[in-house]
Amino acid sequence: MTDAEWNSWQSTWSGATGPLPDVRARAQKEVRLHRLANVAFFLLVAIALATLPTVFAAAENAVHMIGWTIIAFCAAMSIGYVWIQRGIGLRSAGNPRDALAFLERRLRVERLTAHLVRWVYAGLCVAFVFVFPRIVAGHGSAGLEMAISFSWMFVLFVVTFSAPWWVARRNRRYQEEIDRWRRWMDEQRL
Amino acid sequence: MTFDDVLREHGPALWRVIASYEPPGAERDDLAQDVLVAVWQALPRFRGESSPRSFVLRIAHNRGLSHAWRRAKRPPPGPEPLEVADPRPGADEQVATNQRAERFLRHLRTLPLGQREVLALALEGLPHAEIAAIVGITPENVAVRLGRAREALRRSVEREEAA
Repeated sequence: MTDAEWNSWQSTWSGATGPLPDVRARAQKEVRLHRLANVAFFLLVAIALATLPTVFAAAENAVHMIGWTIIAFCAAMSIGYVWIQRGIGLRSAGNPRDALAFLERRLRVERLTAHLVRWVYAGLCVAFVFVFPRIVAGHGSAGLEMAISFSWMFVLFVVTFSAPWWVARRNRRYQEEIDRWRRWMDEQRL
Repeated sequence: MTFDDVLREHGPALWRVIASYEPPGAERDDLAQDVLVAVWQALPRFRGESSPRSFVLRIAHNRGLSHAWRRAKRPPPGPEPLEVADPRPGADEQVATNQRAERFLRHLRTLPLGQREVLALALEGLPHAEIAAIVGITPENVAVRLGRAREALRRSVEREEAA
């Protein structure tokens, strides 16, 4: 190709200056959503911890055990959440292969989070089995209270203990999609 | 460097890169929004390790590629819409320039992405080393891709002129 041809292309190219949309409202919304998502988890933890003074103010030792269970649950979830999230971030200007690797890291995070949920909730359920009968002991309708509460706890246990299984099932589809993207990138010579 | 500085100094270059991924229309506007949001969010992390131009063009290309991935999963779009004339006074000359550029961009958009991104950056006047840093390949690979892209683009233009 000749220099004149290239110069003509370059002049056509650099002469184009189309309008860009105003982005500020959208950007501010995105930033708000991002912050909300980050804050939501720890807000829930904070709400759970805020109940502690009331719990520890009670006279019964059995109720205090609920407080310790809440502390242990929040600590385990928070430490696990922070530990799993570290190092998964995407550099703002990484190349497309980095982006694909990031998506795969996200899948790994979901898998680890599912395991975290399985074992932390299993611990919660075990604690509940020990603590709850002591709390309702002496109530007039203790049997009914235990039947209702244990039913719900069983449902919670089944859902959370099976989390790694259903997360893996859902992620298989995403992994196939990532593989398709990788093949497409190869076709596009990226 | 503020977001307004980026828009003032690199807005036209960003627009051209965006236009190399999408024909005029809502999809291009969406991509432009995505790119600008990404630049806006990334600016606080800019530490001057590269030139501001490389930084924003890199973001634009990465967003453009992500957009193209999503697009590839959908059915192919219909014929490209024509540019609508800008009704503002004194805009005729710019509209004519943009229409010439749109014809050129239509040919550019027929190239594989790997060639298109290299050619678009070369048209911005970036040296091979800088393009290599943005795209994540070696400068030698940039030269090879650029040569193939120029050849493919020339053939596409010739085919249209012959038709």
